[in-house]
This record gives sequence, structure tokens and C-alpha cells, in this order.
Amino acid sequence: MAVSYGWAGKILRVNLSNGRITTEDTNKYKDYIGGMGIGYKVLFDEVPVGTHPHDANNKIVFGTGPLTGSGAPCSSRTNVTSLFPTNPKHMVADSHMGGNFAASMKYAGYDAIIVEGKARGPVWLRIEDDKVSIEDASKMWGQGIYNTTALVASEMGKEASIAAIGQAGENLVNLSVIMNGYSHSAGGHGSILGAKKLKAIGIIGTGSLKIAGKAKDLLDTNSYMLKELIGANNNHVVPSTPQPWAEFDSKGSRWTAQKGLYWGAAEPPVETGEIPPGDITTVGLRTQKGVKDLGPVAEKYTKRMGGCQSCPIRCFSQLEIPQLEKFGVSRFVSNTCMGYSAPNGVMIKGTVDQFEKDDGTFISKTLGSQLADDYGVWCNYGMLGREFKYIYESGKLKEVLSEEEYNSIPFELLEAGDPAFLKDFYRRITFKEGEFSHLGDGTYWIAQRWDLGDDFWHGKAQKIWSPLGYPVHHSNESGAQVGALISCMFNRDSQSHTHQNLIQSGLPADILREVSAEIWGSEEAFDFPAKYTPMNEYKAKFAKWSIIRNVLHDSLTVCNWMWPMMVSPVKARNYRGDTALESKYMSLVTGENYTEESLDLAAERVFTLHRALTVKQMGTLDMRNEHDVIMDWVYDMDPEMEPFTEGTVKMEREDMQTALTMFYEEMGWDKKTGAPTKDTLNRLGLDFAARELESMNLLP
Amino acid sequence: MGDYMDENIDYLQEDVADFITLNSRDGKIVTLEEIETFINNEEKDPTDVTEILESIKSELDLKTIDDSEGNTFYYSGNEMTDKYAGIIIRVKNKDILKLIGDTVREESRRYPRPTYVTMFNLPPYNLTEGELEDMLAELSIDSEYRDLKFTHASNGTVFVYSNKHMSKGYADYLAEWIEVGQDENP
Ligand code: SF4
Repeated sequence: MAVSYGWAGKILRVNLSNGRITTEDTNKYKDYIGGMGIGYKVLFDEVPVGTHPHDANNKIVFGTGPLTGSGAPCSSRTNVTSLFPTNPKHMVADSHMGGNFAASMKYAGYDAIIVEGKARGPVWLRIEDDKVSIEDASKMWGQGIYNTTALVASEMGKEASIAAIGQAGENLVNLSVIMNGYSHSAGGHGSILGAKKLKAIGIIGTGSLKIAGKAKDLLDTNSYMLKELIGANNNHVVPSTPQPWAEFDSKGSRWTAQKGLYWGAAEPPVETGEIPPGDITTVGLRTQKGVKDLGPVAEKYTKRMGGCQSCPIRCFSQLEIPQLEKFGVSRFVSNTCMGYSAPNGVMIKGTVDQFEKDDGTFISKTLGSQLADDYGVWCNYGMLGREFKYIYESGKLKEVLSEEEYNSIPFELLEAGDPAFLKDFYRRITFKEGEFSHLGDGTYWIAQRWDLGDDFWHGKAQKIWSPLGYPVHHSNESGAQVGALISCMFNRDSQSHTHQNLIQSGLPADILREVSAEIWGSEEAFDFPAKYTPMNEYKAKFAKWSIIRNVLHDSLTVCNWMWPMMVSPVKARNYRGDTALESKYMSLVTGENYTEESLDLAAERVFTLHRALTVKQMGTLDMRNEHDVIMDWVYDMDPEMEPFTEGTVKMEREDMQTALTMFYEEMGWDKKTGAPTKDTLNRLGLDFAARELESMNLLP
Repeated sequence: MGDYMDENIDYLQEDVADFITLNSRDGKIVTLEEIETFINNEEKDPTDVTEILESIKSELDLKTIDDSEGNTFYYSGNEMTDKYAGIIIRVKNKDILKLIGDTVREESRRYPRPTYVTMFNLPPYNLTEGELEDMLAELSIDSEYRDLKFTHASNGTVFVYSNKHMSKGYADYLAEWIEVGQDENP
């Protein structure tokens, strides 16, 4: 076999129905780069339309890319692709997890793992380089993710990277996760493994990745990125407080490092301090995510920051909170962002102080994150709490639950602001106890089941973005039509951070507008926050570029919570980033000549394949009216204000249709329907998709 | 002997460079007297300080800034921005009210964003809570600052903005976004 640089060269395929374990050459997927690209290709080719996510015919793909495990910063992301249970038509979607799992896959020799079929009884998958076996998991079945991980580790050793599902996944709760490394979770696909009776995957990879270029060049590129380009988490490039070295600062910045702010529970405590750019050894101190996510009270409980393999940023706070043991959970917590805030969203009456002043929310977040993580419950990017609030406060819950069930729920804890309520809440969902547990079905399904009407779907408080049952995720509030377009294009909440990272970078708008002009051709691509202008072609380019880079990152795989490097913290660079950095790494690692353009084209291929697959699965061309639809509140919010006035992120219906048209044109999709045209599919080398869609009468 | 002296001067240059660098990094600007005192404390031979400063000028991107009484302060441009040094001087000059006004107007115009008032408690402003309260009270009655208005987010954080550069509705939205919205949309 020819030497493969960057790619491990093999894909592992495991059929749980017949126990067959095979490998295949990665080469046939190279045009799709890796990760997400491999996932869509496998789903397009191999999973029949109409398959239920929990059927044996559904497949799940754990994908990495050529940069995974290469040592490029932030490159241990696993892209998980499968049918998506919360989606009303069970269309394809991705979930992502960081940790060490992706790098371990590569070191074991695999670019992707395809799992198909369904085991007869509980199993787990043991991978030690090329030794792969399906093992009995009956002892693990019924356990939470933490115990399962420990059980697999006790068999394989502590060096194993382990991904597992909790009881929620086993019980086919739609809102369930796959998690590796105790806290890195891929939301929404847990029940796929549950249905396949696959409890966990453990990997030990003792091999290495072959890199075409010189090691020194790779190290130099890393050094360049760390010294000159990278900021803090989300690539925020200014500190959160005024500091001598910094021309700009922004209170919301995740660059929280400052004098007097510590990892307080480290021994000895570590001061984050003021950290001007340039020193690669202190990048990991920039983001004190414990305090950012959990408030000032978290400082003294913070042991350190953790994160994914090969990431200098470390956006997971790791804390020791002895008081948590009073709730029957471990004192050790690790999580980030929504992993903390979602459980707090369930405490709709707030949380009162528990052990010290102002620790209510802190305890809710850390306790809730442990419960949700161990059971493996997903939140649908915060929807779970908002749905609970809606049905509780509207009286719907009383209506749909029997009196006996309603009275069995300890709402007195909720009303009193006692976070012990979370234990009851997550248990019911995980074990499908009673009618209440259908909250775990997801937005669309509960609306059907409980007959939730327009005020649920279109109410601003619920923040539902799409009739497909997913919420706002850096949508109209992030770059006007840019965020809105991005949020329409996937089959779940959009996970693109490209546009969001630029907008929230902390730099003043005049610099961001200049950067926008340099990348997308005009300053008009960038709207001041909540000071929106009507749609224009540059915003369509911005939206396309954001998605394409997001797709590229999930195919390479690198973290889109950090990449691309659009801006920099360095004044001498005039705060300019380097959008060609992905291609520099790709050329170095693979030895092939990649340019920004060639990589963007490959990512466009992957994204258009996603669109083609969506058309195929929906069985309609009319993406504009059946897929790319936004709930009314986005247009009707702030009734006293007109769209395009200062202080509102309200959108305008006609303008949004124009936005879709311009975006479709940018993508080469049919202007009327938003479906990919034959020419575009052929141009991108997706002839097979064109032929199949044509045979289904699904080409515009 | 000559060699020894040269070496001594080299060391001294290095020490003075470090002294200014570390102070700048720490958010402090220093006077000539402070530099001389540092040299004396280090028990170095008396030397022409200005000569030393000249010799380290480009290495440090050495800059000076004067206060209203004509005192000159030194800082390293490698470590401290002119903006930061400028704020320190204005605080020394007790030019606080105008400093707040200018800062708020600039933030409202350029970012654009309303300014959270407790920023002025942080270095390099360093106002005590009482001083800040007095300043804000003064701001709201001084006709020079008629364009400066207050708003607050739902978590109670108070912001000030210039209505020359943003409307009330806009300031309200941004204040809420900075304090609440952003955290709810991680
Ligand atoms: S920024 Fe966070 S999620 Fe992204 S690679 Fe780093 S640790 Fe992982």
C-alpha cells in the first residue's frame, strides 16, 4: 500500500448484526477530505431513504480528518454523522466531540469508524491498533457514562480513549449523547448507539501519523499560529479587562486572564495574570472558563483548564466541589458552555444560595452537568429547559400528565429554587418514566404529542428557529442575515462558529468591517450588532464562507470553536489573521499542494452533498418553503420597532427571501427552490448524486 | 579598567531596561527620579541616566508622556499602549470627568457599545466606588455631558452611553446582550 500522509489510510467498518469487522481504503473518500465529508458520503450511498434512526439499516460514522492527530492546534475533534432522531424526517445531521478520541483513532490507524447493523445483546467495541473485537457489555448496560468509562478502562488500561453512552442512549431517548473522556459529548446521537446495543468504544492507538513535511516546518507553523494568530477560546483576541498591552478590551471576551484571577484550587494556586500575545507557553492561561461559565464563585474551586488533545486553549474548566457529594454525585466536574448552562435553564425559578453566598446558579450548573453527563442526556442546545418552562408555566403539563404523575413530581423543590429538583428531572427523562419523560423526545415530537400550538412554536421565549424543531444558535442575533442563513441550512441547530467568532472577537466594528472587506469584498458584509441593513451580495458571500469553513473544519478535523484565524491579537499585524492557515497545514501534513481555494472547493462539495442528501431524504425540491423556514417570532419580535432600526435583531420577511435567493446563487443552487442543480453537482464532482436525484425526479 | 566600565554600563543598561519593562508590564509609568533611585538602590556607579535611556530607546520602544505639571514619565511601547499610558496620565491629572466622558463617547462611536460603569473601578482608572458614584452624579448634571445617558441590563449592571452615537433602544439592547444574551448563547 502506498504511504499515506495525514490520512491514516484505513476505515474500520463494524457490522454488529453479523459481527464482521473489515477495513477499507480511505482513498475513495479523499475528495471529501475526512470527518463530516466521509459521514455524508457513507450516509448518501448506504442508508436508504425512510430508514428510522434506530433501525439496523441506519449507520453511524465516527470521522476524523487528515489534520487530526497531526499536532496542528485544536485538531482532535470527532465528527459523528448519522440520521438524527429529533429531526421530524430523521434527516442526516452531525454531532461533534473533542477529547482524545479522534487522535486515538488516527494513532490506531483509522480515519473513520463506520458502525452498522444491530447487536443481539449489549456489546462494546475494543480497538487496539489493528486488533478489533466486539465484546460483551452486559455488565455495563444500565450504567451511567462515568461507570461505563471506568469499566472499559479497567479492561483496557487507563491509556484507552473511551466513548460511551449512558442510560438515556440505551433507553432510546432522542435527546441523548455519546461522550468521551468524561465530558466531551456529541449531542443527539446517543440513542443510535443504544439502538445498536453498542455501549462503548475503547481505543488504544500506539501508532503514529505520517507527516510529509519536515517536523521543523510543522513546529514553526504551530509557533506562528500560537504567537501571532490565536487568541483565547472562540478566538476572542482582546482581554476582558483594560490591560497595559492591549489597545482594546471587551467585557464579554473569553480572554479572561488578568491579574488576581486564579485557578484557585490548583496546588499551589495559579494566577492567570496578564498575558500579552507572543508567549506560546501561556496561551492555556488566557481562558479561565470556570469563572466565565460559572461566575466568580467558581474561582476557588478551579483546579485547572482541560480540553482536547493538541489544543493550547483548553476551554473545559475542571473543578473540585466537595459540596456536590451532598447531592450524591462526584465532587469532580468538567464541562464547558452549554454543558453547564443547559441544566441551569431547567431551574426556571432560579436557584437559591446553597452553601455560600451567590452559589445557587453555580451549584445548579455543576450538579446538573454531572447528572446530564452521566445519564447521557442532551439539551438540544438549551431547548430542553425552555420547553419545560413553557409546558409548566402554560399549564400544559397539568393537562397532559395524569394527576398522579403530576403530583409525584417534586415541583416544590423547583419552586423553592432547590437544585435537587434536577435529580428527579433528569432521572424521569433518562428512564422514560411516565408522560413527563417525553420531554426527551425533542421539540418537534413533543409539539406533536402534546398538541403545542403557535404560541409554542412562534413564541420568542422558546427561541425555536425552525419547524424542524431546533433552536437559535448564532442566528439572527449574530450578523443579521448571515447568521439567519447559516441557521437555515442544516438539519439541526447550526454549529457554525465562524461568523460568531469574528463578530464577538472583541475588536471594534471598524476593524471588523475592514477585515470583512478583505475577505468578502465589501465592508457591507458586516453589520454592526443590532444595527442591521437590508440584504446584499456580500452578506451572502460571508454566510457561504462561514458554512464552508465550518464544514471544512469538521472534515479536517479542527475545532470550529477556534478556527478559522480571521483576526489576531497582535497589533503589529493590524489585528489581521491568516485565512490560508488551514491550507498551509494541509500542504505540510499531506505533502500535496493545497490552497485556500482548493480546500474551500472541497468543503463546498461536502456541504452541497449534505444539501443533496437533504433533498433526497425530504423527497422534495422545495427547500425554500419546506426546509429553509424561520419561525414567526424572528419577524414579529419588538412590535414597536421596524426591521433595520438600531436596537433590534428583528428580520424582514421579504428581505429574508432575498437573502435566500442570493445565498442559493452563491452556492449555485436553483434560485427558486434552493435545491442543488445538475450543473453544480457535476461541477463539484457529485455526478453520482445528480444521477440519483434525477432518477427520483429531484433535480430542479 | 576601561573594559570593566563598559561592561558595567552594559549591565546597567540591561537593568534599567528591565526596570522600565517590568513597570510598564505592570501598568506603571516611571519618572526620571524613579529610574535614578532604582540605579542608586542597585548601588550602581552614578551614570548619565539620559545617556542610558537613549541607548535602550529603540530596544524598548521607549516613550515619554508628560503630566499637567510638566513631569515626564517613561514607559516601554513594547509593553504598554499609548492609550493606556494616556489614561494613567489623565488619572494623575485628575482629569477624571472628561476621561470618563471621552471614553464613553469613543466606545459608543467605535465599537459600538455602551460602557459598563464599573470598568472605571479597574486599573488604570482605579476609582473607588465612592469616587465613581460622585463622578457619575456629576456627569448627569454637567451640561458638557448632556449626551451621556444611563441604561442597565436585567442583571442590574449599569451602563453609560453617548446618545450622539447610539439611540436609547440600541444602548438597551447592547447592554442586555453584553450582560445576559451573550452568556445565554455560548
Ligand atoms: S477550544 Fe475547546 S473544544 Fe475546541 S479544541 Fe480546544 S478544548 Fe477542544
